[in-house]
Parts: sequence; C-alpha cells; structure tokens
Amino acid sequence: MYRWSAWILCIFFGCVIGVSLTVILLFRFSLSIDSTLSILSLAQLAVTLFLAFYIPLVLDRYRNTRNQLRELLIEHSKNLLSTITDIKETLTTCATKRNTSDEDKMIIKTKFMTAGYQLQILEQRLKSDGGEKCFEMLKPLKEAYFDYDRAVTGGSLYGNGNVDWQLWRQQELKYWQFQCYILDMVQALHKNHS
Amino acid sequence: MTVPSEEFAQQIIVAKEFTDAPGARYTADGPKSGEEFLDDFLRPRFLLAKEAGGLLLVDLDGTWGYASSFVSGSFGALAREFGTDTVRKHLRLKSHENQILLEKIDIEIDNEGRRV
Repeated sequence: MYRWSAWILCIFFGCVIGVSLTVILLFRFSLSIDSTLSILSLAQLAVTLFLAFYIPLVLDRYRNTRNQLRELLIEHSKNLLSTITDIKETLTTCATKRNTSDEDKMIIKTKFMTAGYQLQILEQRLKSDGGEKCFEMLKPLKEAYFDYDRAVTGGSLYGNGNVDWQLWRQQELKYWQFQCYILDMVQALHKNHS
Repeated sequence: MTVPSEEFAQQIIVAKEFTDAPGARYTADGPKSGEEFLDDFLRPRFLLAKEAGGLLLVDLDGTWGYASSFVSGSFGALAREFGTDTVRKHLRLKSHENQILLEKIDIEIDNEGRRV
C-alpha cells in the first residue's frame, strides 16, 4: 500500500516538475520549442543518471542491513546451542565417570543460567528483527529448553549425584530435540532474510 | 506473576536470607534444598501473606542459578499444597537478571497446581 502511494506521488511530482519546467522555459524565458526540449532531455538524463546510481546504493545498503541482522540472530542461536552442547558434554563426562562432583553440578547450573540469558537475548532480538514466523518458532524452542533443563537438573543428578543410563538417555533425547528446533530456526532465519 | 510496584505483606530475598547457591529437591539430597526453603521460608511466609490477604514477594536475583529439582521441591510443592490459583493470588516473583527463570517457575506452578 505504502509502496504504491510512493510510486503515485513520485509520478505526480515528476509530471508537475516537468510541466512547470516547460512552462517556465517557454513563457518566462521565452525560449524556442527546440531549446526547451533539449533542456528537458538534459534534465531527464541527469535524473536518470542520478537514479541509476542512487537506487542500487540504497538497495545494497538495505540488503547489507538485513544480512547483518540475520547473521546476528544466527550467531545468538549458535551461542545458545553451544552452551547447551557444553552441558551435554559435561553430563556425558559425568556419566562416563559414573559420579558427579559438586563442581560438575555448579558448572551445569551456571551453564543453564548462561543459556537462560542467551535465550532471553534471542527472544528480544527475534521480537524486534526476526519476523513473525521466526518469533512463533521461539515458543516450541523454549519448551524444548525447559524440557532439557528438567531432564538434566530435575532428577537424580541434583539428588544423589548419580547419572544413570536412564537420565543420560533422557537428556540425550531432549538435547537432540532442542538442537532440531534451533536448526529449524536458523533455517527459517536464512529463508526469511534472503 | 511479577509486579514489583505492588505493596507486599511479606518478602523473601533468597540470596540474602537463604543462600546464593540453592541445592536440590529434598533435604536428604544435601544442604539448601527446595524442601528446606519451602519449610523454613516459603510456606510460613506464604501463609502469613495469605492470612493478611496480601502478597509475598520472592526476590530470586543474586544466586548461582536454580536447578529444576529445587524449583519443583519448593514452588512446585507449594502449588501442589495450595493450588495454582491461590499461589498465583498471593505470590509474586522478582528477577531482573533472568526472565527465563520466572517463566520456568510459572510453568512449574501451573503444572504442579493442576495435580491438586
């Protein structure tokens, strides 16, 4: 709608300027028809040259901004995935050792805090720059995050410190689900901003 | 659940009054558990706020994070005991640091309260 209005306004003002210039040249300066037409052709050439340089510049700047925004959002998504992957790896190490130290528990808890902050930032960014479709994808992503958090810190890990097969398998499953949602979002960001 | 401008009958600042490193679900699991927090702080002050017809504010900032088992053992258990509506009516949570944590506790209260 705005685009069409802008087009119509541009054509209208172009016609007004063209007619005014013709009238001024013909009647105010009493030039001949030939001279007037030559001046109008020159003016037309100048405007065409200006637009030929200006429009690609504006489009290029617009595309660069969109690319930068997309890269930023993808970077935030990757950071979040990287933190969750760190948690998964710490947990796998604990499972291999068959016990969890207080230090491990603290590392996992603080990593979840970091992931929470990253998710918060991603949410804010998506709200302002991500587009409606990507923002809608945040809800299942958040649910997957809470599921993963519950699978890791809601069970025996923070009880007797035992990382048994059941806990490890459950968190592994939730991790891959979470990863799927993140990758879906990255793909949607690529599509939305390309 | 977060309305910091309201008047509060009771208040708990977790990091100051309880610990800056909340632990697991049950007292048997180790120190500073969700159960301990529920018994010593959350339930008594919630009851006081409820009797006064007022609100209890729980300030969650300044800690090293909350495990899901702690959240379930404290806020989840409170919702199981009193129901989601009563808890929502008298409890307010505050965290300027971590909005995701507020959502996590909200979900826990919702899920556990439905089991009443």
